[in-house]
Formats: sequence, C-alpha cells, structure tokens
Amino acid sequence: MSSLVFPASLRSLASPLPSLGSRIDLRGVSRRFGRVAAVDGVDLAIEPGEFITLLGPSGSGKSTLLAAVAGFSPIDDGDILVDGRSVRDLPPHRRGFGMVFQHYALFPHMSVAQNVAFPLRMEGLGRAASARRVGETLELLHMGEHAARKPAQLSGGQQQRVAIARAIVRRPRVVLMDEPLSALDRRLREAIQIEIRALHRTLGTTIVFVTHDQGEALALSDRIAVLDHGRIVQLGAPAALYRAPANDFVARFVGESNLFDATVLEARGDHAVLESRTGHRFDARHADPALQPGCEVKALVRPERIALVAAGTPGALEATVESTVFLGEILRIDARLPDGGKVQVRCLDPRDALRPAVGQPVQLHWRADDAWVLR
Amino acid sequence: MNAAAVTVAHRARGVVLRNPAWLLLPALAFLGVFYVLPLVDLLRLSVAGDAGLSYFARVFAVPLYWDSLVRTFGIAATVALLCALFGYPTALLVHRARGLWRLALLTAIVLPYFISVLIRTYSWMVLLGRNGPINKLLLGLGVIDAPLSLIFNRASVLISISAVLLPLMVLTVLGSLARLDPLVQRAAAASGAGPLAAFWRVVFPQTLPGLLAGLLLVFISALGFFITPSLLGGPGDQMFAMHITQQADFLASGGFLQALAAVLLAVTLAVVVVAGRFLGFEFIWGGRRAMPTERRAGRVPSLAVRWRSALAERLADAVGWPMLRALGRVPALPAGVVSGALAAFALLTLLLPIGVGALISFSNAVYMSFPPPSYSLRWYAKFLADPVWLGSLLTSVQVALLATLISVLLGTSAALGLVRSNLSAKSAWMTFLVSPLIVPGVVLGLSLYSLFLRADLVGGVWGLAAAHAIGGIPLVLVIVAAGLQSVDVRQEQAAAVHGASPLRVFRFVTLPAIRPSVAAAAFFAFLHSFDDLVFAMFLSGSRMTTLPLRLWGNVNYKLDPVPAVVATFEVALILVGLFFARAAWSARRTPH
Repeated sequence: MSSLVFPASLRSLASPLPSLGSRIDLRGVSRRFGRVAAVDGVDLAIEPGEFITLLGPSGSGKSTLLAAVAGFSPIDDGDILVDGRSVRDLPPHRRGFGMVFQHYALFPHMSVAQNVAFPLRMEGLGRAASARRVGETLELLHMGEHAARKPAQLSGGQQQRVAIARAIVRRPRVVLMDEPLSALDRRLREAIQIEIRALHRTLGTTIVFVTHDQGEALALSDRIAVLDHGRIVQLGAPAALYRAPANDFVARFVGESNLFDATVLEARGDHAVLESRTGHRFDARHADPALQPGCEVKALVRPERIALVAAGTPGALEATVESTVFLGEILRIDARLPDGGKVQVRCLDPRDALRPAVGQPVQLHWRADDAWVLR
Repeated sequence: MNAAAVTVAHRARGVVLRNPAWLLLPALAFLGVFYVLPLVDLLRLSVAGDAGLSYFARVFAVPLYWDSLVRTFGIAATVALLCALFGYPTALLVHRARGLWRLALLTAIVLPYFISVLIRTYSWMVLLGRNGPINKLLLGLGVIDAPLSLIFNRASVLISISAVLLPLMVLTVLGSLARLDPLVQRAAAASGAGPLAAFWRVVFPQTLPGLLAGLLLVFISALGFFITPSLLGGPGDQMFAMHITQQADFLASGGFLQALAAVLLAVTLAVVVVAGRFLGFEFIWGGRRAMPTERRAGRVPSLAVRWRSALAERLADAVGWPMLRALGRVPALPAGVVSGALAAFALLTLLLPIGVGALISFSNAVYMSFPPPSYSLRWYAKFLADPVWLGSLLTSVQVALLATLISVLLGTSAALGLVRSNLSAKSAWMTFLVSPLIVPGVVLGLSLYSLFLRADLVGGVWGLAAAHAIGGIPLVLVIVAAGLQSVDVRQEQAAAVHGASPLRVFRFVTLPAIRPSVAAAAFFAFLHSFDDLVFAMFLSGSRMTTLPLRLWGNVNYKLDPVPAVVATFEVALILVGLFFARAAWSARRTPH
C-alpha cells in the first residue's frame, strides 16, 4: 500500500510540465462572523512549491482561512495575492487551484474516471487528451484499475486517492487540502501521508494543508503555521516549532511537554540559569533578549529528553514513579516531584529488570540544551 | 405439560418476539379485505354475466370515453410539467433558505398540502371568478373593460390542478436536495466549474431521481382527478374519472362503471410499473433506491449500446462540454432571478387562495363578492348556528377519529413488523402496503360501494372510516417506518441486555423515540379522512353527510362564503398542528 515505487508514467508526467508552485501572500486577511473574528489579520508569505500546514484546534480559524484562500469565504479585510496578483475578487472556479476536501466530496453520480476528468473537461481539454491524463494521474495514485467504478463502490482510502487525483490532475500551481486524512484510520493515514509527501516532491506545487493533528503536520510540512483564535501564533519549520515553541499554547499543542515554573537567576546570550520552586537549579536555552534575572518563566522539557540516571548524578532531580505505561517501543513513566508537580518521561523500553516499579524513587536528568524558556 | 412442549412453546414465543414480522399481519388482513377483495370484485363485475368484454368494448368504442382518456393523459402530463417548472425552483429556494425564512417557506408549502382539494378548488373558483380579485384588479388597472371569463376553461383546470399538486412536487424534490453533500458544490467550483455549470453537471443530476419521482407522483395523482375539473372545467375539459362519479348515481349501469374504473386502474398501474422498472418502486413512498447493482464485469456491451454511448460521447464533446464551459462564464445572477421569479409565482399560487378564502370568510355581504364590502363574523355565526353544518362537521370528526385510530394501530404495527424484522424483499412488501396511495380514489370508492351494499355498510360511520383507513395505513406506515429507521437499534439492544423484556423495550425505548413520528402520522391520517370527498360520495348513502360532502353540494349549488369559513377553520387547525409538530421535533433535537 505504501509502496514508493512510482511507475514510469510519473517521470513522463513530471518532466514535460514542470509545474512549479505559486507564491501566495496573505496580507492582513480578516474574516468576521458577526462580532467574532474567525480570522484576525493574518499575514503569511508562502514560498513557491512550499508545503505549508495550517495547524490549530477546532475553531482556531484554520478552515476559514483555507476557505478564504480557495475563494469560498469572502474576506472582510486584507488581500490575498497569488504570484503577486490579487485574487480577492476572483470566484473560486477562476482561481485554478486544486482542492481536497475533508469527506472527499466526490461527485457520486460520476465514475472515478469522470470525477478526475471533470476539471480537465471544464478547462476545455479534448476527450482523448483528458482520458490520457486521467489514466496517468490515476496510475500515479494506484487507482488505475478502479477507473470505471462509482465512488460509493470504493473504500475510504480509495475515495481519498480519487479526490487527490481530481485535485492534481490539472497540474495546478496550488493545491489546498482541508483535513483530507481525518476520516481515515491510522495505518491508512500514514500510508497516504507518505504518498502526499512524494507527490509534492514530484509535482513541485505549493500545498496548503489544514489539520488539527500535530503529528500529521510534523510529518508532512516544510513549515507549519500554528493558529489560535484566528491569529498565527507561530510560524516555523517542524523541528523549530517542536524544540523552540513560542509560548505554552504551542508547546502543549505540538508534542508532549513538561512545564516547570522557575525563576531566572542569570541570563546571558541564549543561555539562562533557572531555579525551580523547589530550589533545583538548571540551565536552559532561550531566545528572549528581554530576559532578566528575577523573571518568572516556564521551562519546557520534552518527556523523551529526560533520562533516568543513577543516584548521585550531579544536577539530577528526584521523583517518585506513579505509573508506567508500556507503549511498545516506548515506556511512559509518570512521576511526581517532591513539591507535588508531575513529570512525564518517555524512554525506549528498558529490559524488564530495569523497568522502574511504581512507588520507587528515580533520578531524572536532562541536558542544558533540552530545556527551553517560555514566557 | 411435558418438557418438549414447554420448549416448543418457549421457542415459538422467542421467534414471535425476536422476529416481529407477524406484526404486519393485521394491516395485511385489513388491506386484503378492504382493498384487494373489492378490487377483485370490481374486475369481476366489469366482466360479469353475459356482458363479457362488451363493457370494455364500449369504453374504447364510444368517442366520449376514449377522447376523455386521451385528454386526461394530456392534462396530467401538462400538470406534471408545470409542477416541475415551478416546483423545482421553489424547492431550491427552500433548500437554500435558513432560519425563520425557511420555516415560513416550508409552512407556505405544507399548509396547502394539508387543506382539502375541494376547499382549494373552491378558492380558485373565487379567485378566478367573474367578480373575483383577479378580474377586479385588471378592471381597476384599466387593462380590460369587461370581466374576463377565466373559469370553465382548460387554462383554469390546468392552473388549479397544478396548484393543488405543487406541494407534492416541491416536497419530493426537496427530499433529494436535502440528501446532497453540500461540499460537492465546492468541489465543482474548485474544479473550475462556475455556479451554473456546477448546478447543471453536479447538483441537477443528483436531484434527477427526485424530480422524476415528483413528475410521476403528480402525473398519477392528476390521472384520477375529478373534483377540480368538475368545478372549474368547461364541457370540453371532461376528465376520465368524472365519468365514474357522474354516473355513480345510476345503479342501472350494470358493470359498465366497473369497466371504466378498471381501465383507469390499469392505466395508472401501467404507468407505475413502467416507471418503477426504471426508478424503483421506492418513489411511491419517497424512499431511496438501494445501490444499483454493479454491471457484471467482463460482459461485453452489445453493439447497440456501444454505438449509443459513442454517439452520446460525440454529442457531449460537441455540445455538452462547450456549453458547460460557456455556462461557467455566465454570471449566476440572471438565472437566479428567473428561478426566484418562478418560485415566487409558485408561492403566490399556493398562498393567494388561502388568503382570499380567509378574507372572504369575514365578509359581511349576503352574496359572494370580492373584496368584501365590509367585515363581520356573520358567516361564522351562520355556520356555527346551523345544525345541518354542525351535524356534518360532527360526522366528519367522528369518522376521522375512527379512521385515525385504525390507521395508527395497524400502520404502526406494520412499520414495526417491516423495519425490525428480518423479512426478505422488504421493498416488495412496502410497495404493496403503500400501493393504495396511488390507486385513484374513484376506483377504490366504486369498488367498495358494491361490496358495502351487500354487507350493508353503506351510510355507516364504520364503513367510511374503514375506507379512509385504506389510505391512512400507508401514510402512517411511511412516516413511522422513517422514524423507526432513525432509532438506533443498539439502544433497544442495550435495554434488552440490561434485562428488559421485548414489550418493555418497546414501551420504554422504542415508543418514546418514535412518539413524534406517530403523532405526525396520526395528524396526517386524521386530515386524510377529514378532507376526503371521494369515498364519502360513494359510501355515505342517504343517511350520512360528512362536511366535505355538504361543502361539495354547497359549492355545486351556489358560491357563498361558507366554504371559506370551513377553509379558515382548517387552516387554523393545521397551523396549530404544525406548531405542535415543530415543538415536538425541536424538543427531540435539543439534547444533542
């Protein structure tokens, strides 16, 4: 299913039409429903050929923002430029984008081939030419043998492939994807994620992807824009977002996190020395030029960055194991600090003999690089 | 009792409770006696004695009958097309409306649907009459010098039958629009299709089954019409069913009337069977056809099929797609205006008669005149003070309550038997149980008449109530079955797992869940009986007069505001009913 061996047609398809993606500029885009701003002055510059994900919880405005880019939702303020030209007054069918919808939205009365041919025929491509292109595109998504079926005769994953085929068949310079994988089960989701990633690399289109699933966003994106209450809270590459979240909303939303209340003792360059409420001192990274001794901050340490060490290790923190959960390759340990705070640790599952028992004290340690200061 | 007998009894009880198909039996028995048997008897009478097929020969040889059969087809087809032309845009309007506006539009469509055909026809007589509002308006505007005779011609017949049947079309199309995935239109736009192209290639094809079902239901209903053409048609507008009612007073006709009815029945069933072959018989009760079976793989299509599809492809290439692309460039506004205008006109034909009727009922004039010279409650007083009117109202209520009772008991039982059993060929059972709705009323009425004569049921409340239950049972069945299907079987299973006996499951889980459906169904069944004129004409005898029957006599004799009073009462009754239905409906919705 997740085979990455692409047929020869893919190369022939990619080479004659080097479909480079468009540049998209969002400038102060706002959309209000009554008094509530669903999208509130969003500025975002999307590079040509970039895979960008709008990530946020439900109600964060990500879908409204995508609908605005697609042209389905009018914008109250700001402008949307595609390759430098405003598309603000262009209806959706003139924008020339491809789009994949949450529940596929295939045309139920048309066959798979007719669904995929639809955008080409609307563009004015002849029967023979469009049939050839439809065949190539369906091949690309391993759906060639299902061309004559009706959508209702396909599984969810197959329907999603058809929806993707319909979105890319015109070689659009922009493809919009609105939670396309949310209706699929985990294995299928991962398989199609890999294919979407490969398609993006092959076709070179700009992809704007909307999801509430942080794992999906991390796996797919060149950059992620995290949205909350209609605003972009942080924009960055997946690794940067994960390692250096801008605030605790991003820290909690992307990945698992341990947050410790602490006071700054020293701040120099990109390093700081912190002291926790229990008097534990440790080093941490930061990127806040205004950080000064005496500031109350939160320190973020990801659970997999915490190691169990032998008693007596300098800088180690003692905690009591409250529960252990076996997750396959990972062991998750929930422990409690002497001041009552909770810590989560994730480590590769040690052999049974070394697995800490509930109620047993453990020594926790992390490197200075692995703690990050949040305001 | 020995152990084996106990086991057998126990097993039998288990089967009876677990597979409630037997709940279909009461309705089947009832329809067998009051529906199938009379129709068989009707066919027997049409060829009885030494007549042989001579009655049928007469139907086809005498131009009077043959011509009216052809005319009836023409009128029914025209009405169906008119309903489609005005009904589809109306359904679109309702589908796109939101909130209170949508509620108002829905009420405007459902309200006339519940009012009796006789009363609505009466309103059209007033509306189009010599001194009616339309003539008054045209005279007032100076467009004409003398009143036009808008009535007693083909146009008035077509307009009024269409107006009477329009709600049926709108509701059927609305059903198919409601099933559309709203995102599909966006997908079409994202694929480069403009609003009109998206409508034509994506929305319209998906609603086509609904539109065809609407066309058929309207066509079939119009085939059996006689009230409206009798009151609004001229001598040249005789419809086929009128021959049966006009001669029903004469018992001397032998089996000839039965032969006429048999022809009408055969024609109607032929249309239904042919349509059912293509659409599936589900169209009768507004159900959805099961997935069409997949074409067997590997079968090579015949030459004719291949040639035809090649031709279709050529046509699509040359005309279809270019037209669609052109449509994509056309702004949607003019089309929206046209569609809106059609819908507005349709709504006008639905609401105007009701409004005019309400106005007239408060008239102070001794004669029919519009607008009323002054207003008073004198006609209400006349109606309520007249023991004859009140007596017939009481009779109608009595009959309707009885008919409702029979319909709800048997219809609900049948719905349970059909939905919750593991019966095979459920669609076939459903088709049979619902089929009384498509058989023309005059045919059923006549068939019951000769049977009731022999059983001395003519002129009795019970006989008429039973006749009304023939149509009432299918109405209840359709509504309650839909309600049952939306009840999660797992709730019933959960109750059973936690120790509830089947009866208790029904009492505490199923019944509360379907109560709104049963109430709505009872309301429908009541109005179905209360509004009926056809059965009453055949089965009331000289002893009994229902309200519609008295109205019919009144309207045929003179045009006065009393029917308007009845109409206004009925509008009030239905509005109250709709209000409660909505309250029950939203009460069920709120917990989510």
